[in-house]
Amino acid sequence: MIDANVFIGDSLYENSLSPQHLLEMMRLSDVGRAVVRPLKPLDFDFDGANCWIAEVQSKHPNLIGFGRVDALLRQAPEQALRAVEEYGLQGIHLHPWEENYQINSEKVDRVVEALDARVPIYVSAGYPVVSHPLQVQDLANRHPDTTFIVTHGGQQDISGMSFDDALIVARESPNVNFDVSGVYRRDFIELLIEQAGEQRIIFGSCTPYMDMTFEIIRIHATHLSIEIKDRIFQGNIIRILGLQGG
Amino acid sequence: MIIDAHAHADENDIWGWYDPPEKVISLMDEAGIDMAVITPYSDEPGPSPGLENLKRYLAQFPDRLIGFPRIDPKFGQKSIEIFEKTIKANPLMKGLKLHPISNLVKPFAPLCVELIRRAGELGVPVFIHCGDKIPALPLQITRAAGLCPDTTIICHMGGYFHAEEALRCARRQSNLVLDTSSTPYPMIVRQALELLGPNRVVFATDNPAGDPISELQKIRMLHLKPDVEERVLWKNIAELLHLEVGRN
Repeated sequence: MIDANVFIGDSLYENSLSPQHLLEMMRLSDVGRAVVRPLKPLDFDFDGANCWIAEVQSKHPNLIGFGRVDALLRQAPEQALRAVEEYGLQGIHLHPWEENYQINSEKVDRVVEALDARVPIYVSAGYPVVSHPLQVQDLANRHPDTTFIVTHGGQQDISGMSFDDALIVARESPNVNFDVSGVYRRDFIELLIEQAGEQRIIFGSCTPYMDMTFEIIRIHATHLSIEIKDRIFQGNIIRILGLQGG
Repeated sequence: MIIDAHAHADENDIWGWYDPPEKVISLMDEAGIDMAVITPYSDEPGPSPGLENLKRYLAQFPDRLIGFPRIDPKFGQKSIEIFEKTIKANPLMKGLKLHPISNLVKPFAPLCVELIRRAGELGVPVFIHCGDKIPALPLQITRAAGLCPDTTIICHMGGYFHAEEALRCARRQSNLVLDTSSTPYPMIVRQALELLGPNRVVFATDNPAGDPISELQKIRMLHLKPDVEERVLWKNIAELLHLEVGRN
């Protein structure tokens, strides 16, 4: 299994996670590889945190590094490009909830354009005001050549009223892929597969915000075939990131 | 014995949500759940036959399903009369469901408070959808609970963004009971038990919206003491609903 959505590092908040601790969690959950990006760093310096992620990536071959930038900052486009070109990171994460911007803001375009579709952009999605599914789609539609991966199936809404909006994105925006962290509805995961196709749904746990073991249980509980579950657990992210399988 | 304190069954043309009781029962069987409290998707009075569907489903599966009619409080006395008549006419109707996001009446608004108080007078609990949106925020429900101290109010553990707030609210308002569904955080369930004690947390799945197997696993992975797990999985809700179950 590959967990596509894990945050590590010394956190500004009370949820720090070291690589060693993560590796132990992965061992206990039978997760072979993980895609890691920085938690919000103590000094707000994402460039420094991205550089550290690159060190982690080179030290631990089963940890795949993504950078993270604050799209509101003037230097965000340069930092994103540096993370990929200089540090060798394999994607960029945007967290509009923790960095306080709307994902479809034109300021985000600068980051996406700087990367020029070199790597996927992972978006923390489904957060009120900042990354509702249609806001994510608004951004994704402006950049059809860029591959996006969104967290939480694109929505976090226990009333069920945002499901349809996320499914619109699944149907209409082929450059958007979905991780299913925190999606407690089995039928919503199955609907995502139906609307987006089995190649665009991936396993990401959103550790340490969510529980890696429990997120695996959710996918196992779906009424999907072994083949589709295998795509979710590893095949799709291997293809999206161009990783070596096995 | 396992009792699910919150599930749904309805066939609703307006929203296009079709979850007949057979589907709910099948998922219960798959997870090993003996009984479930079900509510419709639509409010009564309203354009969809949610209440009639509920009555039919209970008649179909009287040993498996318990009903909470879902009432829209904005019709005042008419809403109260429908609720009261429903409860008195059918022993399988054992509570009231309020969904402020569909009825758009704040839980602490006078029309709602009157209905909640009436439930207390009838000796049945009220389940209020509690999540991340106005008008179903934990603090809004807590205000209602404060105005209706003789009614037990069961609500979700705050959804994605209000889980800790739901715990704080339940800690200070003793007639609030939290259900374990609709939150992705197993540790919040543990914290709820630590803060509130073993008697004010009830197992629920939101079936078929929520997945019964993983919702049950969410409790089991906490490795609770057997007597605590038993309270959560059925005893607490059985006591709230005065169910004659699990007695040898």
